[in-house]
Amino acid sequence: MPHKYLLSSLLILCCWCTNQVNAQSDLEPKKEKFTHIFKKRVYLITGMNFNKQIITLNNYSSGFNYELNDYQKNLYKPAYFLGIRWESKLINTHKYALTAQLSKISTGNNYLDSKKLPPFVKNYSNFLAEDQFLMLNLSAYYKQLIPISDTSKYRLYLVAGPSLNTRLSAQSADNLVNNNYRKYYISGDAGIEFNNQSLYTLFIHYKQPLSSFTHNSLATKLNSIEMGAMIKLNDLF
Amino acid sequence: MIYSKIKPMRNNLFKSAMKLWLLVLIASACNKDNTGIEVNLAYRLIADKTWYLDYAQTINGNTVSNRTYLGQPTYFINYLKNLATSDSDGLVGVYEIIKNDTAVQIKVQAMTASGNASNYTYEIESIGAKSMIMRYNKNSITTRLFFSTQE
Repeated sequence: MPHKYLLSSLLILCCWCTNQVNAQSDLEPKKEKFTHIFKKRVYLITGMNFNKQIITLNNYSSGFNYELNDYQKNLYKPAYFLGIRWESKLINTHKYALTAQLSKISTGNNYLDSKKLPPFVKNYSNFLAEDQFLMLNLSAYYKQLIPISDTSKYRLYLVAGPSLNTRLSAQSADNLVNNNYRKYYISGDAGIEFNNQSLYTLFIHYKQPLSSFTHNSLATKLNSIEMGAMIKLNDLF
Repeated sequence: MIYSKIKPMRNNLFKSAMKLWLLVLIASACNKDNTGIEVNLAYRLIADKTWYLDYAQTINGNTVSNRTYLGQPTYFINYLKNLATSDSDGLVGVYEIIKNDTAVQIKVQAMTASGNASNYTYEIESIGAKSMIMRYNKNSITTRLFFSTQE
């Protein structure tokens, strides 16, 4: 099932890219121009992400109990991602970027509330948050240049935009019972990107979830910090 | 010339990708029967462990009474992976985890040392890796049994 999501998403992105190229190419042979622009505007991105899930149980209940002494981990756990980005301009001035990336995610899980059953079980949860995901992230960013140095050499951008995050990995049996996890959640991304003489770009992004990753009365927010680098396909091939 | 042929192909590809995407969305939205998953998960948590009775609670109307067995020799029961069971009272038999309309239950069919049958069904109120609450009703009195693996 996950490869269907990936393939169809990549197909949609590729078709959209070719449509963009077609709209702008009139003079050169179209196929050559397509290859040229595709390589010039498409970047390969990769890096590390650090993730934490913040869980509020509210009134959720199930027939299972999980002692929080074993599962409470209030920290960001590292993993990695790989993807492609398309960069262009709107009306020749406003820079934007579209990104499709596959993210392996490992999370620390912070339960904000717990249940008690004294004197038997002191702190427990009826919900066991997953700590491993494979995600497909589709993001759109608006890029704003910050003119703080010689912009012919170094460029610093402020980027922000929405992201649709699709879970490709299956749920564990603990969550399949009540089908706790959603397939999608939306996040707002913001960050800064440093471009070094158009050779490469280093970036750091923060993803703030705007919707819960879980159904029922559970509220689960998956926060991510991404640090990575991107390079033009043109420079690679 | 060639490009004019490629363009309709590309549009068809785009439409196909959109249709595939919609199908995947619809398929993923369908509900699945999770009864088997719940029973299997309960089995995974219960089996291959010895469960010790820590507390017993009886509820008779508004009267609730608790009894603790912590720090003293107490009742225990083994649930083995091969669905065999034995307990500290000398009962030996088999068990089965089932799901009725409302709850997961454990059904035990055992024999006493003297050969008498002892069959009972408890409702599993809550189950975890180290703690479990079972309950049963008899003569309008509800009994809740709090077990742990004492780890």
